[in-house]
Amino acid sequence: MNAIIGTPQPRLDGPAKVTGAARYALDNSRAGMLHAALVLSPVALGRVAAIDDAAVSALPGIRLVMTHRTMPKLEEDKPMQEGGHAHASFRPLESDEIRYHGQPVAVVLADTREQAEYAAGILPVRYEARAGAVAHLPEGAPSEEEVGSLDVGDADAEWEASAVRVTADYEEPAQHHNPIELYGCLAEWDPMGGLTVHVPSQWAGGMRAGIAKSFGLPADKVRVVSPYIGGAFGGKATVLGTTLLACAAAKLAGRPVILQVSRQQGFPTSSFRPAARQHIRLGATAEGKLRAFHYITENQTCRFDNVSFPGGEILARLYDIPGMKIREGLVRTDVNAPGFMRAPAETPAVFAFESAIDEMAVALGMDPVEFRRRNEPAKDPVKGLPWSSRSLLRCYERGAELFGWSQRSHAPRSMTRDGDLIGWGCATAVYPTFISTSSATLRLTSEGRAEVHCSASDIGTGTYTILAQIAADRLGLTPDKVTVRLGDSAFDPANVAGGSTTALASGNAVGKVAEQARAALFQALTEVEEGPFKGMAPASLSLSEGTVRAGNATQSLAEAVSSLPRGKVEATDQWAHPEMPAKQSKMLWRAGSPQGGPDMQSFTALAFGAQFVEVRINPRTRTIRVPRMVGVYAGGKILNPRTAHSQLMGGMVWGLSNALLEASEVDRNHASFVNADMAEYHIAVNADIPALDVEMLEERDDKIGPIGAKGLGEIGITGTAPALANAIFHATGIRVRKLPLRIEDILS
Amino acid sequence: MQPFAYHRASSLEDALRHGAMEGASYLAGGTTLVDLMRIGVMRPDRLIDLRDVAELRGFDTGGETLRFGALASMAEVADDIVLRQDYPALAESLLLAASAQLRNMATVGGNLLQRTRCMYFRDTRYQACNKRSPGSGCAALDGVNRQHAVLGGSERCIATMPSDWAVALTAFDAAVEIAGPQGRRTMPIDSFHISYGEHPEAETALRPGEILTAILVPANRAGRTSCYAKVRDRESFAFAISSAAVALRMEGGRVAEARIALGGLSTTPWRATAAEALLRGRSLDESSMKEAAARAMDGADPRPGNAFKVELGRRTVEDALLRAARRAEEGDAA
Ligand SMILES: Cc1cc2nc3c(=O)[nH]c(=O)nc-3n(C[C@H](O)[C@H](O)[C@H](O)COP(=O)(O)OP(=O)(O)OC[C@H]3O[C@@H](n4cnc5c(N)ncnc54)[C@H](O)[C@@H]3O)c2cc1C
Ligand code: SF4
Repeated sequence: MNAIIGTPQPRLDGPAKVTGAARYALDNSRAGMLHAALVLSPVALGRVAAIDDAAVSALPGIRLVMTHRTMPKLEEDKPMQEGGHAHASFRPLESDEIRYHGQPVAVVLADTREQAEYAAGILPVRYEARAGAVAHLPEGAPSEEEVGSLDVGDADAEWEASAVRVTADYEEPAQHHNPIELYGCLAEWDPMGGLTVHVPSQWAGGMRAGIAKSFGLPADKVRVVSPYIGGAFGGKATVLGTTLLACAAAKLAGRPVILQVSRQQGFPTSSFRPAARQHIRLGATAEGKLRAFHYITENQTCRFDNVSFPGGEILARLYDIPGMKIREGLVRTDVNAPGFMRAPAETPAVFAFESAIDEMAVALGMDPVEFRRRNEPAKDPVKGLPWSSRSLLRCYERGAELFGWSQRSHAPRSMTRDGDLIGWGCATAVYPTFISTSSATLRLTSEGRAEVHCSASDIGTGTYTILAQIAADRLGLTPDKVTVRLGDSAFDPANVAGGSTTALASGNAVGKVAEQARAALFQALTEVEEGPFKGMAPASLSLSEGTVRAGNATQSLAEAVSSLPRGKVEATDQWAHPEMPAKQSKMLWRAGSPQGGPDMQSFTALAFGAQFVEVRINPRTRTIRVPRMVGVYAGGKILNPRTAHSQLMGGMVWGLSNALLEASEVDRNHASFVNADMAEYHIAVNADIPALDVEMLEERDDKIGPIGAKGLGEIGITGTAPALANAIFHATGIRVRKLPLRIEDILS
Repeated sequence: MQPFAYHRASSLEDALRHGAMEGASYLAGGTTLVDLMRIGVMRPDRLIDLRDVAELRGFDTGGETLRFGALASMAEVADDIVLRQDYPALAESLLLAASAQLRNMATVGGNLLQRTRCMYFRDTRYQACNKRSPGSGCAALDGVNRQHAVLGGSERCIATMPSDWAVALTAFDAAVEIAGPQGRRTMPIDSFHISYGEHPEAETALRPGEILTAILVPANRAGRTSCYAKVRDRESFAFAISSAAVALRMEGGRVAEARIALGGLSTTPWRATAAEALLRGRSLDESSMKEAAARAMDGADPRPGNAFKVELGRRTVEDALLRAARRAEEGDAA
């Protein structure tokens, strides 16, 4: 049979998605369900002085107005980064206090969505506002807390001794998630006090734990169901306040409640990429050997939690720099808690650092690709460990070749086409290989099929497909003979679909249980009275093309499984990397998110890539367009080039959007994000996306686990913004150090 | 959304009769109106749907006056072969607007009546918006105002008029035809959109109950060498940060007629007559273009968030002039 792993396979969930058969959370409905609508605060700080719900409650169809006075008291939970499962420790409607613009202050339940929204829109709420709220990252704000610190060598001495120095500050704005699928959920209590929540979820098991904890329930009383997700990217990893509100409202009303959070209301009520600022110093010898790297950052967070995304530790793995000093800090602002967004730590950090690297190459008068070649580290500069595998320079070589980099004239403003300014830039893409753990169940059925259960989520990355490929490979089946069921907290525990961990962890778990099921099948077949394999050595049996064989004896898998006393074979187990401490891997069973890497005990693992882009700039209006992009990546074993390609391409598409368009604009008078809809919060459209070439290099990695696959879900976004900023510099001679890169930055 | 009554008008008279009722709004493609009703910014009590009124549909680009029925869709007008050849600026202003789906729904009349994209206007959580609630203030003056106007604003409102089509029409001295309870009238498009001054809530000269029936454009030979330049961050599906409609008639290497209108920069479609006059009789070179572009932006009154638009506006005019000049050359060569 042809190899299944490593070949391009179409997505198994594709037909269901394009025909509409796939049922997303908000496609569900229940008899007698009520529709919820949110009332959000127009003030950022203060309190709710009064809510007069009399008139609204009398409107047709209105069933309940829930405010802080009637909201059931919730138990505490912590944000995921602090070991909990919540988006924020701040509990919705916990009191009359208002802590950010757009905080929910009431929920209206009605028979129809239109009734609920209308009532929510006219509910009279009196606010007592307090001045002084801040939603932006204030200029020159000192960090209030250190969240990351790393020293390698003597960075100050190396800086002093450096012949060539670059000092620069960079800044990235807050950004909000705008996947197609809106936030929301359907919450349903049963007569026994159990709660089922249909909610788009990157972590069914984690959300179950968080919801159960909030309502003081044992975990097995709650079920979170999320087979399909219409885009998540980190925004659907944790229990949002709005999910808790829907569950609470359903409890009060005694009826199922569906809440669809509108696009506009989704901005303040969900997690976002916080604003950040980096102060960088790079020192190098005149020959282009890096010596010093200072990295001081300020990262926006909220008042109530320490959610932050320091990226310095990853940057310290990019090049061989003997002196490094990294200090990362928090700045508190009056916003809802920030949260994960595709490569949350890496995206802003890599923009800043890879821009600075380019600035240094310019200062040295050196080809930026050559400059990186001179600073390639033989081992992990932080821990001194060997790389599990590292192919950055190969990525640059191949990328340069595909792009035609050798044709670049390096001086800024030296390339034009049809009167337009042309700029070519490159940057490194990087994402750490986080090594998690997962469990899975595999069942062989009397129809000759395999069924895989795992609570892991397919957030559009292709998990359904690669898990089927892995099971099929181990069992000698075609992928269509494997049914994979995911995204249900009733299934075996898995890590959050975050940190690009799912392919490796759940893939290894499925590989492991598939092998166990096959072994159990062989063992059992040798014990079937009158069966063709009776008395044979289990090791002499094989399974391929749906047939069990040993010597001349053959039996179809369907017949073989049917012949067993139980009519099925089942295996359940957990896979954990041997270097993950047992104490850590056991956390999986308590809805933890155990995760090792990038440094393990004996190696350090990251995925690398190289991106090359071309910008075309109108010499008068300075409109920035991108005719082409090239990305070359090495990510260990590529399980399915087709789904991997989509991830990398999608990452670069968002990278462009992140670099040129996306910013949540802060109104300083209201401490609010003001462009809260898709007409004003611009994400890239088709016409913005150029010829986009993605290539994956062969890379063998034996250290990270049996299937040897590094996560590729996030790396694609990381190099695009600096590559574009570097290209804009090349085209115009103007260095833009602030995202998004806009016309006004290069007008003069 | 506030509950409302719905009536599908069968004729212009029927529409006018219903449109005279308290709280009535006309519904054309609905791409502005329904959107704003959904987010609570517009709250009509009754909608009078104009889509069945035959005399409002259709358009004719053949005669001495081009006539566009108010209910013609943006898509069908943009696809007209005559318009594309003889008035590229008009066709481009439609093609570069919105998205294909929206252009299929939206009408060329509704387009002139679309409301501003000011984010404070569109979000009822912000109290201060003179346009939405007269006298409440203006949150944009010292708020986020990158997309706001640098020309024609007042201390009451600096919202841009977002229609691309209106800008191109302004360059061609278009007129609008209006039917009301008292009969029909025609007015130049220049005076259709009115300056904000004290009353930014009033945007057009249309009186309550009146229907915009058609848009009229006098035929113009300069149309052939016209272009619409639209500057925006995103390649498609975005309003203009700045735009310019330019038409040129060249004679013997000199400008015989120049028409320049600006968009994305001003509170009404902005005809740059002084810049046009400056170019007349001159050759189109770097210095005359720069002078004209600077003149076009005379009187700009920027805020910190949109200060760059003064320079960008000039560059946009230059860009549009260059493109139109290129078309003129190509036309001569052909
Ligand atoms: C996402 C988005 C992007 C857009 N991008 C652009 C862009 O880039 N450039 C651009 O120019 N436009 C853009 N538009 C605006 C769009 O072109 C307008 O919404 C559309 O042209 C309005 O026409 P309509 O027929 O849908 O009007 P409607 O929404 O039906 O009506 C608009 C208003 O005009 C009134 N009205 C309509 N017709 C008449 C009439 N005949 N007589 C009297 N009153 C009438 C209505 O009562 C209402 O107040 C965009 C819109 C959206 C939603
Ligand atoms: S600019 Fe005009 S529309 Fe915008 S907030 Fe001010 S008054 Fe309202």
